[in-house]
Amino acid sequence: MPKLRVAYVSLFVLVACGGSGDTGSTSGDDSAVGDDTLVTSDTEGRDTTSGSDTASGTDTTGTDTIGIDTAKGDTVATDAPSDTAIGPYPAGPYSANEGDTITNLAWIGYVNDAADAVADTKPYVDYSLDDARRTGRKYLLLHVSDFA
Amino acid sequence: MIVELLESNNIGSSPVTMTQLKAWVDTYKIPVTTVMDPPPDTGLTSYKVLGQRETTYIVDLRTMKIVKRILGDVTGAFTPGLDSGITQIIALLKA
Repeated sequence: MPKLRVAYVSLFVLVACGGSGDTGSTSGDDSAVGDDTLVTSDTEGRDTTSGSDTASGTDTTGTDTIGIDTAKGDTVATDAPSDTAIGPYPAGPYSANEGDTITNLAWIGYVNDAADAVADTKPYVDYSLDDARRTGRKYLLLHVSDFA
Repeated sequence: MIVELLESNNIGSSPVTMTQLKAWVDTYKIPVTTVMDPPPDTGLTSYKVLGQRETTYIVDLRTMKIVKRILGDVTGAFTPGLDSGITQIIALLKA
């Protein structure tokens, strides 16, 4: 139990540091790495959102702002493609093995892709792997647990 | 991004209930999307597809291909596979 709790603390730090799907930072350095950097804070809790190119310290919309300086009047861009740009869910065959395509499982639960609060404060709604895909983020970490 | 899936009750014995899902979130203060199979699914679909806990998948959301499948500790006595998953997804995001 304690180890799982520690894991979730780590998990929260990961999300807070940009694990919401794009390039994270744990160094406090605001420089862009790749094309999707969104830094909210580093692991020491310092606010790193005041750098020159970080548009926002929060990501509550499921889209990440990139390379924008709103103080200079730049418009806000996002890295989340529209549904039409993303296209249909990949075809099978499906399996749960490395290198294979995972099937589009349908679920229900507390959806908190922004990872900004304890999950059960969020709406209890339908969710699926396709919903995760349509966030436009790069990677999903799917942790499978069992109630005991 | 991270999704926590509570796939079954007592390792495949029965589906998870909403009450159990909420208790799971509350116990660990889980700050990410947390889901289960939707009622009235009594077939333990996710359990059958993804296998027994404690397993961590890293999926490339552009292709939906499984990049990593990490088998964790089922006893609860050792470091969960989630730790390794976090380390590996950070490496992927920095690559």
